[in-house]
Amino acid sequence: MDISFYNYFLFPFLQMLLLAAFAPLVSGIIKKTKALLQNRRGADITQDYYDLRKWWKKKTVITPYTGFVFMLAPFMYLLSTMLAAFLLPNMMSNLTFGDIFVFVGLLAIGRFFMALSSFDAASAFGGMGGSREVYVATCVEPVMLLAVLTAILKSGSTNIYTMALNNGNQINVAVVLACIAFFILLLSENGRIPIDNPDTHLELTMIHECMLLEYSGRLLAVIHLASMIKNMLFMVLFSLIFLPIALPLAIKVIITAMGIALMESLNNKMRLFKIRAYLLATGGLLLLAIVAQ
Amino acid sequence: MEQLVMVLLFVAFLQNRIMDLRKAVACLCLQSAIIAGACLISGLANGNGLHSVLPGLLTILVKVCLIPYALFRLVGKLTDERELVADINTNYSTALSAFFLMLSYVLVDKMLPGIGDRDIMASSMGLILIGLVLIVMRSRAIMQIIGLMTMENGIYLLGLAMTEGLPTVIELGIFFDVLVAVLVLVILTNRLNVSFMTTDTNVLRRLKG
Amino acid sequence: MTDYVPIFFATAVFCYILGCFAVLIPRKHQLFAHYFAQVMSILGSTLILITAGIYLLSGETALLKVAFVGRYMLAIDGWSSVFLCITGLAGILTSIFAVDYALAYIGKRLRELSGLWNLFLLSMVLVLVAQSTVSFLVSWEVMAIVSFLLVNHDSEKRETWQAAYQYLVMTHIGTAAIMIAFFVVGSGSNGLNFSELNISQSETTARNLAFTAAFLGFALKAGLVPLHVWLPNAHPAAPSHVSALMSGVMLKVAVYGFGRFIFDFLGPVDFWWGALVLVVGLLSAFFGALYAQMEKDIKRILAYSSVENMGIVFAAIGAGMLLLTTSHKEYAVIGFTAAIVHSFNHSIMKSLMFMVAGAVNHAVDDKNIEKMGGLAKLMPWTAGCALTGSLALAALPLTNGFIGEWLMFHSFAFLAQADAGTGVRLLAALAFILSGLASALALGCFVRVFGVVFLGRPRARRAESAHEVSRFMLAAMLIPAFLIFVSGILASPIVTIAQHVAEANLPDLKMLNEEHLLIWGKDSGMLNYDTFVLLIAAVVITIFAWLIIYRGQVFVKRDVIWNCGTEPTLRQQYSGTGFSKPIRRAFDFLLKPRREVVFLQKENKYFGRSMAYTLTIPDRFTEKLYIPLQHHLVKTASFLRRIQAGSVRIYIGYVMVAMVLVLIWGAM
Repeated sequence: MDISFYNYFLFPFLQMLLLAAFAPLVSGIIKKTKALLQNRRGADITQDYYDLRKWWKKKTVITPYTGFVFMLAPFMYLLSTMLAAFLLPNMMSNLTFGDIFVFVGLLAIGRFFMALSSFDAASAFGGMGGSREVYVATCVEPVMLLAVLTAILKSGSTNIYTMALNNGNQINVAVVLACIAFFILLLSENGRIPIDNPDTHLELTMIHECMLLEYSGRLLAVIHLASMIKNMLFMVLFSLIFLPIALPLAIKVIITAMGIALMESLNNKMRLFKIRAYLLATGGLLLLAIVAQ
Repeated sequence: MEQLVMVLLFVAFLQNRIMDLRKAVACLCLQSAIIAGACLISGLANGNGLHSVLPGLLTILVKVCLIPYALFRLVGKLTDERELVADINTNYSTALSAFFLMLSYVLVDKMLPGIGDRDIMASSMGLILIGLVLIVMRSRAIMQIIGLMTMENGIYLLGLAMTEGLPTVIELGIFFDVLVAVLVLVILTNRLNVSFMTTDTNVLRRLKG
Repeated sequence: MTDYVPIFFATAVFCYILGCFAVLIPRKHQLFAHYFAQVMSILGSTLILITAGIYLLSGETALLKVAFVGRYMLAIDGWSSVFLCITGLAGILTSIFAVDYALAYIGKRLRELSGLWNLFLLSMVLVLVAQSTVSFLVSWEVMAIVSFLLVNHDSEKRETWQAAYQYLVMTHIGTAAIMIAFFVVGSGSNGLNFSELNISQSETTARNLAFTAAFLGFALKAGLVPLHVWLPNAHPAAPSHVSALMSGVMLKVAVYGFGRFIFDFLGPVDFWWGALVLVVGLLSAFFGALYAQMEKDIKRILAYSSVENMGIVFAAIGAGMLLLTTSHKEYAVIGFTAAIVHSFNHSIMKSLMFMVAGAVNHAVDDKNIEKMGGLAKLMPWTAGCALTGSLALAALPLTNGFIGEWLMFHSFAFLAQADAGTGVRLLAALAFILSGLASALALGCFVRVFGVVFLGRPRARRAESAHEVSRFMLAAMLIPAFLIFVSGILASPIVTIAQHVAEANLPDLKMLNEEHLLIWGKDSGMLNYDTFVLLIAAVVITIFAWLIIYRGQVFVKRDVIWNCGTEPTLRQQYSGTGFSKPIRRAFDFLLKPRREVVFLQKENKYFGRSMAYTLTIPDRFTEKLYIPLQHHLVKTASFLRRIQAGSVRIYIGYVMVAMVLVLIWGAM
């Protein structure tokens, strides 16, 4: 095998597995920080691994009405997040592909299948989760594209690797605005407070949890792993491209995780229809950043 | 020729002011006679033989004899006495005719400056427009026929002035066309009279869709 | 090989003409007539596809004569061969579908349907190969009239002929605008052949007028907002295969015409032209996707989705035009490539979805998605094809629907990076916002359509007895589903060909030497989207996951869902209207829905009430724009009616006045 195979396939594949392996750890860091902030001891950082194992060992119960989409959806979600992880730049080699639009598009596959699976159980909860998820996606996606545009303007290319290289550490207005805005987007895409509460199962407050209400056992484990990987992906992207601090990547990710926990502890969940205005404001910040470039 | 044109214009103005049907038809007959005279004069001036006199003779036959005869017969059938006399104010149509005559003089001077037959051209154009005025401003069918005939006279005179005599076939065609037109109009006026008991064309307004 | 092109083309036209004669076959043999006509159209479309394919694959860029009809030359070049390719492919697919689908019309003028089908395809092909104004306009008009006749096929129903009449009026307004454009350009040129039509650079008013008229006419035909109002009415009224062809091909023919004007006739592009096309395209994309979420008739949803996708095509063209006016001219190729690629992909996707809609309509005998549900178990193959089509229309990677949008996003990115001032940058930001909204709304729309129709439990009695479709219809649906994935993965050749065509049409740019897509092992292109690598990674992950997740005793039992302790009823599952409620509320300042709740029966104050709830979403474009316009037109016409006074004398008076005026004017 020549160098191109290593560059194009093997190293990114290994990186993807590495990200998948560390995702529950980062999720554990978030939960531990939140607990410490709330003056509790909280669970161990590695608790999520045990949770995954717990779900894995249980058996799955499904309704008589579901079809192939229900079974397929968790796997497609995992596939989409792993393929997106594939596109992130590689520390070990010069990755030339890794287009940011493909990244956003791949994550949309996961969202499509999860929203679709919410119909399959023919329950009221599923439809509610799916409709809210689609609504949040409608509010988030234009703002996400604006954030992408900010990054493109700063680095002059749509390649994630080039963007990461060009993440110079100057701090000016545009960079700070983009950083804040993408952080808010990170919270929106991953279903964190103030958009969605990842801890509860009350129908008033759940969006993401609502869609996976019908899942149990291995399929649930797969979905949770995929959510954690997606969280990790966004944090890595944020650290690489938007955070203007010069530190190694792992430290930046941990700082981001603590930042998320801080945001979650300080705020409460917004009313569903106020999300529109909130993200509109974020979009405004980004427009300012674009003009200020 | 110019004297004939002067008389013709006078007769045309007279036509505007006559309200009585029989007198109007007589006036038309006179007008056509003058045209026929002009035609004979111009035909004899341009050559000898039958073909130069033929248009004039045809004019006399058709426009002086046949058409007024048909019109007189039609007028005879109109039984309502009021029909023969009443109409609107004639001053308007006279004023308009005068304006159009003046306009035709101006136009001829503008378009064809310095032409020899200035009077004939202008008066024939004026005669056409006077014919149109008659059709527009008179409501009785027979007066409208008379207006149409005046227009035809004007066109014929214009053609006469411009050319030295059209080919015989065309002349025959023109006359035949005029004759048929008037015959059709006479038949229709008859029907109008039978259907509505009047020849006032304003009653046709009821047919609007 | 290109020497055979005229022969293929002539044979194709001959096949179509033979197929038109199916109308003459007597009524006893109408089934034979139908099969004959469909076979002829399949043959003709295949030959057209081969013709266009030979031309495109040979890499030529010059005009290639294919036929002479009297004085009029018919020729193809790159731009028209792309659209010929689209016509041929969609023609094949929908004709195969129509073989079995149209059997529902036996006894209801089947021969006319099949014969006019061939005439429709023939007229579209002739529009694409016409090289003179007269032949273009004649073919355009034939296309419009034949499509009206096809839309009006079920003319016994009131909605059908109302929709068809509206379509006829609007398409003629469009044709009038196109004629104005042609004649304005032609009056400044030597002749009316396409090679001679060239308006000079200096006559700005004439050029602006020609551009506005051409854009108006072609945007109306392509269904851009606010001229789209005929689309959602005409598509449900027509038989499904006719809708598929109209949506898949006829809208693209408008793109072809507009491209001809931009490339050949109008000369260098102005700034505000590009901005106008871009903004109109974006608004169409946004509004199309938004209204698609609100509808409950499956064909109306697909019609609005066509509006959205045509908006994307025109937005890409607009971005390309804008890039031509900036200093980064060579990147304009990306915009036009995006337009070509997305037209091609959309014709495949939309044909597939309309065929699915026809199949579902056939099985359930209703077009209302709220009466369907759970069809995935009863019609599994159709559901699989519908899933593929929904994935593609939601523009997800590894399907071909993604590529056009992806290229469009890149053209916006280049637009933003062009140093042309803050205005252009803000325009690019607006482009990103609106196209992001459109793609998110499209995703939600197709989640909703697929979910409500195919998943869950049946919501009405008829949906419980649905059956799978017949072989021909299934084959006609499986082919585009397969093509969606194949052209999504083997995207590089298609994009290269499209890039070649776009570069040939913008001749005064320096050519981009690099290719756009990265193929396995080659050097990097300008934009990178390596489908092969993603595919291989996906396959590897799938194998691992299959072994780990789905193996073994995973499932214990099928049990009822948790429904807070009660047995779930049929009506508790989400309906389509409910699913789109958050979006409806989010955009209610645009949609202005009207709600009406009527309490029918009130036994007890706290429970036991039955009520009727009516939700109407008015079509605001029709209300705010068209109905006032119609009103004013009728008022003006009634006012002008006073000229018809009924009196002959007044009419002759008009003649007299006109004569006098002409005389006076002549004398001046």
